[in-house]
Amino acid sequence: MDDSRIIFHLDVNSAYLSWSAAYRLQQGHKLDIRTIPCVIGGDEQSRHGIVLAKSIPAKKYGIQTGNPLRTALEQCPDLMIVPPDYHLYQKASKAMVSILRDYSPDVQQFSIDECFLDYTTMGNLFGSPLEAAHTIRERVKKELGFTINIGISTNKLLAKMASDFKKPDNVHTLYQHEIPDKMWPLPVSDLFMVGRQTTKKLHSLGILTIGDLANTSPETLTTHLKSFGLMLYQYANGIDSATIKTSNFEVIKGIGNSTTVRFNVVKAEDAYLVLLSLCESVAMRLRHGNFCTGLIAVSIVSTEFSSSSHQRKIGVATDSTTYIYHICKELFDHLWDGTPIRKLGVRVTDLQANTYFQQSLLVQFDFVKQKKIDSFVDELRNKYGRSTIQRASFLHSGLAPITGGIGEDGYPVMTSIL
Amino acid sequence: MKTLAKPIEMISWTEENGRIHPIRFKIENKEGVRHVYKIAKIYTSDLEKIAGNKVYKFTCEINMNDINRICELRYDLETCCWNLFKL
Repeated sequence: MDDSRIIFHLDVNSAYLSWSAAYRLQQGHKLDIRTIPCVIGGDEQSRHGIVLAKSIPAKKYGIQTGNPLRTALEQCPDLMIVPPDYHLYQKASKAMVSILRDYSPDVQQFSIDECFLDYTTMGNLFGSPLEAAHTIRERVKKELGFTINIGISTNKLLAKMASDFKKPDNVHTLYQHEIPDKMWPLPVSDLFMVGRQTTKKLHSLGILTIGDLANTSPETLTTHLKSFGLMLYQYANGIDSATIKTSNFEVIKGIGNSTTVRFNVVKAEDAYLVLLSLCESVAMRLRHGNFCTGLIAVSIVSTEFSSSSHQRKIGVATDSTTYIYHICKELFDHLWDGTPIRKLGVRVTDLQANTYFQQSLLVQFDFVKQKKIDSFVDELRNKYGRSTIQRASFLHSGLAPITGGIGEDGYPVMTSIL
Repeated sequence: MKTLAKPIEMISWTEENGRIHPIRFKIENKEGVRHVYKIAKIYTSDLEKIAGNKVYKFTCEINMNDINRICELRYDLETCCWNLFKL
């Protein structure tokens, strides 16, 4: 165990809400939306809308992030709803990272509202870790107008767990010797990487707290959860060797896009159109990364929130929008049982280089012509915008011709890899 | 000073190093009448970066109805818009 490092994890308190609140004050609004029941959410008029962030007063009404706005309004009729401003959030995030770079050259933007910072060699310049953390916290509050939590420890996992203790506007430590007192009493679902399904499995094994997990034998965990179980054991014992990644470039394993549709999809033709729009964005990203795909998967979530998916390995690795779409249609036909659908997704994996193309005698498809069309369409879209050109089947359909993603370039999406 | 956050038209000059000096501005009052006010003095100019949004704040003295009044003018670098923030 490497106890010589000092790692900070910085987490913006209620990021979207705090940032929108600070911005509104700067623009002259008198009301600070952090002080009233308020949520950041999509368009209240249309069906599209979930709670993306909530204020502390809103929490008291039982409003939860991820709930539909309709539900939130039932819980609190006077709730104020502010739409999200992703461009602002990117700026706020960049401004925070810029301040952090004054305190260490090794800063990793983990997500839009979280950063890791390596403080190991900076003690001579900025004082003890605790002093430095408070300095940073105050500076962000004063210069940028929002509060953050900072967790300090010897590795990323513990630092991230620490920043999640009492909020807002706090600094917490979680060094190795503090693990039994501060981390072990917590419910096992609080551990990083333990989600709903893992919690259920662990509960069935009699593991209720992080302490229980830490004191379970690694062999038992590996039997039930394989290598993931071993990782959980290490995390519960504060073992993590992940380094601060100053560049967020990872090897891509797959590319996917999904979308929640504004209406319940009950006709196959509508589903096909949505799949086509997803294939447009997925294939565009695929070509941009100079990949071809060998495995295509389609997933659907019904109105009852049950999800299912179907995938197929294809003989000829491809980057053609139309070919991927044809496969998706077939996968969808196999998969769908007629239940109304709310969300559809297309994902391609088994990525290969696109430096050469393997012709197949068995496939009736003009890959060469389609490649020319695809590259021309990509060029137009990159130059003039995504909506410059679209397939005719989307005319008067009420559906967007290309869907998926947040739409802002370079938006740092959260990963689950420390 | 009271917060107004009212959009205004502005004439300013900028030095070679990028430093901006507001000169005079035109504002429409409640009755729809437009007035021009000359900035007599600039007391402070600061760059504010709330939520990452860069805004220049100027504390200025203007002459309004023969009274010297302090006001705060703001210039949003993203939208390039001036507003009379406080008066």
